[in-house]
Amino acid sequence: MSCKNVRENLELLDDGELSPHDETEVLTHLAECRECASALESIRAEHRDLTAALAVPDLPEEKLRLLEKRTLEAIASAAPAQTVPGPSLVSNVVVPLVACIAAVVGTIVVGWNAHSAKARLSEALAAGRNPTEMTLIILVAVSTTVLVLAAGHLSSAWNRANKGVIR
Amino acid sequence: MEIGESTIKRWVQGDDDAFREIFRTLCREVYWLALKILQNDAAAEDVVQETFLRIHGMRRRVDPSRPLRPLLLRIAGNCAIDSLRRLRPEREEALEEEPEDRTNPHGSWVDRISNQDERQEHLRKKLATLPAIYRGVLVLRYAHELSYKEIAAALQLSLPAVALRLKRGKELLRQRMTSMEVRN
Repeated sequence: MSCKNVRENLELLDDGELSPHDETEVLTHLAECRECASALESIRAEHRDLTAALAVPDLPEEKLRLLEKRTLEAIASAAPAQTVPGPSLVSNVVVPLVACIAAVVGTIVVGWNAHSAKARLSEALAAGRNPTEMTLIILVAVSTTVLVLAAGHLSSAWNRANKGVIR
Repeated sequence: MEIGESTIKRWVQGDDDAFREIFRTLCREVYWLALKILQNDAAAEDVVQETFLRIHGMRRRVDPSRPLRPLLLRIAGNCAIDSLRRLRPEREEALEEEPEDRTNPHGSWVDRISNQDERQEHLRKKLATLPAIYRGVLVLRYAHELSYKEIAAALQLSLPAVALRLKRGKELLRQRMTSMEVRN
């Protein structure tokens, strides 16, 4: 490794950020090159200066208490928004399960009703009667379908509402 | 200073005392990071509040087995940079300031100013004048001793970008330190 390449890597070396391979190469070069070793000493001295100049000072107790009070108050006032239940067992499992069961039961009921309605309609038409009972059955079938769709939609909306509450 | 796993667990489970313990342990670092980036006490206090508010809000997603300090400093770094952009939008271009004459690197300030106290005094002043993008990485590296990887996560940068900002920041600092009048 040339002096130029070594100099470019000295800061990374002192920061402990060189790969093991590069570190070995740089250290091998430093063992034989006084100028580069001296440059490393300057960089180490600069880093020590920076650490000292930027050292995190103690925070006065009074200021710490003030900041703690402010933060706890902010958390308390934000609590209603923060305590909206996040994705949980209810939203992730129970609601979709109920929606699935409702969909399956709804499909069976609708299918059975449709089959029954068809038979009753044929019967009513053959007998020349007003098919009031059949209309009622169709209404029940439509209502069940609407309920199933609403349950699915509600489940999806619930999940959407609960995602992204906590950023 | 890192927070113990048991304290993080208690906090995640809703223990307010554990949160206070976390706050009192890490507040100093968060405040100092924000102050160094923003150079403004009131804005730094706002960053402390915002940082702890955010992390408290996401406590259910925190993995107690992982260290909390890097995550908290990452949030603080982001809050401080956001705050800086709100405070000084007109200085956005200055954030990208680069050292002049990079083909001729300046010598070390250590060689120029032999008196350590005087050197520290000048260094603190010159650090305060650095563009925020350089000050931020220098503070995270040398005050908080974060690795490049942790800084990259804190400031949402790539590893090469962190190395480049540190290098340019120090070069700019050398320029300013070596171009000033010294008493000796």
